[in-house]
Amino acid sequence: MKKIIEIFLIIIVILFGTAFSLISNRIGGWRGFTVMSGSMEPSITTGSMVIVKNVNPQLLKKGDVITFKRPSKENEFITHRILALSNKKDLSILKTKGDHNKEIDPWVLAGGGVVGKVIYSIPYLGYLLVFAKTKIGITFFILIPAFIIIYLEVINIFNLLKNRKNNVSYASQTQSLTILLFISLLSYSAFQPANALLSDSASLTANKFTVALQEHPAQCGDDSNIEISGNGAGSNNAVSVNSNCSTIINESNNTTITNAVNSNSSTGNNQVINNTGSNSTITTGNVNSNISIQNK
Amino acid sequence: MIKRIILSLLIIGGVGASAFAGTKAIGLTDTATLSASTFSTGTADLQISNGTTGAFADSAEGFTTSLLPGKTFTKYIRLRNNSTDVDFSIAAQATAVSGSIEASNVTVVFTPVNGSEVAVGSPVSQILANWTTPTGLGTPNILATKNQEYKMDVTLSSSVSTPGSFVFSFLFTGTQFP
Repeated sequence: MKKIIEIFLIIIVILFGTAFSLISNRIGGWRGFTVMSGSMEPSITTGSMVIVKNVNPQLLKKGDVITFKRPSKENEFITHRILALSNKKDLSILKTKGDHNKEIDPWVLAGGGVVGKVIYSIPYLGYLLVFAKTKIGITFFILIPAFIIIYLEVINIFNLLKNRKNNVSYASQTQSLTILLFISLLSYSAFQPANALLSDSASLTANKFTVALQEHPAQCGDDSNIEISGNGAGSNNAVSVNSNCSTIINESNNTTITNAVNSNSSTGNNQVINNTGSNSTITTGNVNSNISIQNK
Repeated sequence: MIKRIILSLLIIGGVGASAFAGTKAIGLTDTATLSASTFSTGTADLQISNGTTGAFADSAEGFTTSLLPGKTFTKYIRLRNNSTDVDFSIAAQATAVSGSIEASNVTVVFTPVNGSEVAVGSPVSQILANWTTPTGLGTPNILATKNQEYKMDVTLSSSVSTPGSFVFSFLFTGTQFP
């Protein structure tokens, strides 16, 4: 009976252990994922292991928690809740959201990307599975048991060759370690991380643009800045500025004008010669002074 | 005895093969696979600041300005990843787009810059109409407790021939990365 069990376990280890490792994570439509973050809290806590069952996307409904491939990320899986769902012919369109996230996920999900519906959630088990994937975990759960089994079998072969009787406890040791190794391989193969993706958003609101077709026309009060640069000696630089500005200047001027006029008039050299003893009379012509002053 | 020895050899071979297959399948030598198995227990929190200085909040008031056809208006904004242990990749989405100017005549470009407005990532450019679909802003991602500044260029097509207006908001979403 013991031999039958032992042979049975060997077959399981060789066939299923290797097959599960290589096929990668599919057991009859069921898959396991470790939830790596808290976007689905409190319904699914960080470190939980979710068991997902493959279902027809047409049978999903709003509120279901699903695991799906993240759009544009081939090997990344997300576990979120269906917020909205529509079925058009054979195509299911889903919007998803993490319970703990404020915003819905920034993608529209096609039903084909759904891996399955979350059926069970086991808190904390994911921590153990992730630890088992570390180098320490691999050493503890796979390499050491494998080494012990191989060591015991080698000892067994030596004993058989020397025609010694087997140790009574040997068979049970081998069986238990074989089972442990099988479980380890199965665990590693069947469960993989699923990011219960955390997200948050911030908004820049109401950006308002007024569109005009040209700058406001130049006005007489505007400054005109003209810069000529890079011109060398002897260069000819011409700047033309057209300004259609009308300027009205009102001036009030107070002017004080003092006009000083000296006018000397002479009638000529009038002489009386050799007029002894007699009265002489000289009649001169008129003297006219024409003075004109114009202050404008 | 021979059968027993063969059985032992099968056990050794089977266990050895299974151990090898198991360790290889899960990437014992693949440090990227191992390092990716990190739990995030914190809360995601993304905040925004309108301008290169000023306080961060969940929402910031946009800007009001005038624009001529063929001209570009430039504005700087900052995003802050206020989470303690969650790194963000950033996507932007135009929302509440309205106005008489067609969204196809407006081009919006986001360029990640450093504090001196020097680009530290590639610009992401598309017309406003296309920004209504969430679009990733590329690298750099915003690490936990860090800020990232973006230059936002809004260009109005030179083909616009009638006066008018347009209004839009932008929703920035930080998604856990990796």
